[in-house]
Amino acid sequence: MAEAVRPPMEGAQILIADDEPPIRKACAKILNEQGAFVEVAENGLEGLEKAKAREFDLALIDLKMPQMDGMELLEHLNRLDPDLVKIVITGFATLETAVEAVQRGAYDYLAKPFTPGELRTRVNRGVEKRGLLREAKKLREERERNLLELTTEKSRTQTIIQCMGDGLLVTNRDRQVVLCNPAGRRLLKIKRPLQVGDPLTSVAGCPEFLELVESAMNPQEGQEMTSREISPAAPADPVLMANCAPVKDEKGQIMGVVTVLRDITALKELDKAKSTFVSLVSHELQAPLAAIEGYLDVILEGPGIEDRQKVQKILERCRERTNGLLALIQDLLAISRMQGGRIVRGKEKLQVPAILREVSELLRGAAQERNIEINLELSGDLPPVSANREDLTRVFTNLVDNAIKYNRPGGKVFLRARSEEGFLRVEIQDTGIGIAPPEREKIFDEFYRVKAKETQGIAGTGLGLSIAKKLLEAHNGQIEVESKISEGTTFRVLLPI
Amino acid sequence: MKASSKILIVDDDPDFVEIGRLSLEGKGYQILTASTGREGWEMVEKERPDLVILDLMMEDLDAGMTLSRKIKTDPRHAGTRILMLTSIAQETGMDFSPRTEDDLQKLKVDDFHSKPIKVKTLLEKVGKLLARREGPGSG
Repeated sequence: MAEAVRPPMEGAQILIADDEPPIRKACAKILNEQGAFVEVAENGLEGLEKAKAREFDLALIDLKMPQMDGMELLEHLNRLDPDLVKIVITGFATLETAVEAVQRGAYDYLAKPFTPGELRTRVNRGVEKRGLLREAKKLREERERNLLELTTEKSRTQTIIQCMGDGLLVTNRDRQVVLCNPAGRRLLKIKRPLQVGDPLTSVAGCPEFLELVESAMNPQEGQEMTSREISPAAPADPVLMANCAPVKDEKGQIMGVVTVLRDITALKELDKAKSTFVSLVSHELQAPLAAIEGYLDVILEGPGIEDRQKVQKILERCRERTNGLLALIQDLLAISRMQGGRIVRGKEKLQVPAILREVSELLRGAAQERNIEINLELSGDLPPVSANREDLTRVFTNLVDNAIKYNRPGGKVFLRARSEEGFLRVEIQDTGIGIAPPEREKIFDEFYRVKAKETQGIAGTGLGLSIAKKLLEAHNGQIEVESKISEGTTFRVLLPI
Repeated sequence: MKASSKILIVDDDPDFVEIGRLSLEGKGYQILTASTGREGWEMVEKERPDLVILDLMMEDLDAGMTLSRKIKTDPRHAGTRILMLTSIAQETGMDFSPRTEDDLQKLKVDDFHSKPIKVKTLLEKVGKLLARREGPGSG
């Protein structure tokens, strides 16, 4: 028989169990020459011990041995490693036994006497068999591991579905519930335990929802998903967004519908707040523009006004309203910058007294016009606060500006700052008209302006305090108001040190 | 057009009062002004204007409506014509604008316009209302 160029048994681990030393030695030598690692045992018992000690690829087993014969060793080795390739060595007299040995798990047999060539051929084939067995074992193990992964994957998917914040509801072709996760039950307000196969109508009574599932079962050409807002049955219920998509089998037939439910109540509220804001802004922008247009109409289209002084007065009023508009736009830009994110950028260590001095200097002209005195009562050693300079200047400008505007002529403004348990406390006190209790809650609202005889003719956007409050909150600060009608108002600002 | 007609403007928006006064005075009308419903009523009693230009929303949401009803249901002032102006549609998102004569009758006004109103439109409306012998709300 032609021998392979590179013997397959190179590196193979081989155990020889034979009680006849010449055969042991001869076999070991032949196999060693082929590159195999060989270990020998004088009897079955010793063979078993060696097989237990480490892994072999092939065992050559003499059937007739003392202590433990080959047949018994064969059985032990079968249990030890079913993939171990066993070749039995037998004399002519025991050929039947050899056949029996093969039936009991031996791969092949060698009849004595055998030539070195015969030995090499059989062992080579055995080692090849061992290789195939190991390959098969590897594949088998891999398949088992995949199955294990599949099971873990399944339980992982289940865990994800159970823990999802969005509600998940799967219905079949018969409009029965196949799956509903806890979020789905919460959003649909299902109290009782669900059974697979419960009709959808018993779970979600809302007709909008049932219609949506129907339309997902019968999608229009090219339609992948149907979405709809489900209006709440009771005012306190959440507003839901339902996204339905058909579940298709491999032929593309619709098997059912998977619905994802999301609580969009907060989004709706935000949306509403934005719409209200836009409509308020539009009104606030329109009012001054309408006035300016009216005045221009009077001059351009109306009956001729000869009185130069009257025209002058009209134009001055137009300029006032234009300035008001510009101030409003400035405030709106400030608000939109704030809405860009709550994170305060460009923080630095700031000395609040220095900022208060700057602000009072800036507004001194306006104060003098109304004969109002600004008093700074700042204690000497104050710790700095970490804040954005522009933001903090805007806060105090808005507050001091209000203290001047809503003061009585000849009144006073007090600016105080002192430190207090981790906070810096700044007070802006005026001796003005005061704010009535029901108004106090609203003054921080956007565009809210106190309507009273005393406030008539005072220019303002209605945004100053709301901007101050927002900026302070972004700095983890606070603002409070205390007021007495016709005595004055004090705004108290707390900033963390 | 009766150039010497007396017109009362009742509105809490000083700009509108001023624009109305300037444009109507230029046409030769005699202009009276008030900034609240109460002041308006006092002025109606005292001055008996031919036409009242009335803002629907002043100190109260329906101050204008209360005043127009008061004027139209008082036999002494039944002939006073009323032009109601309002920006309520913008502020509340609702549109109260009367569309038919019947609506006007119910509101006890002779004409209605939403704010802002162009000076030209205001002059036209005033002219038309004063040219009428009596408003439909009378009697």
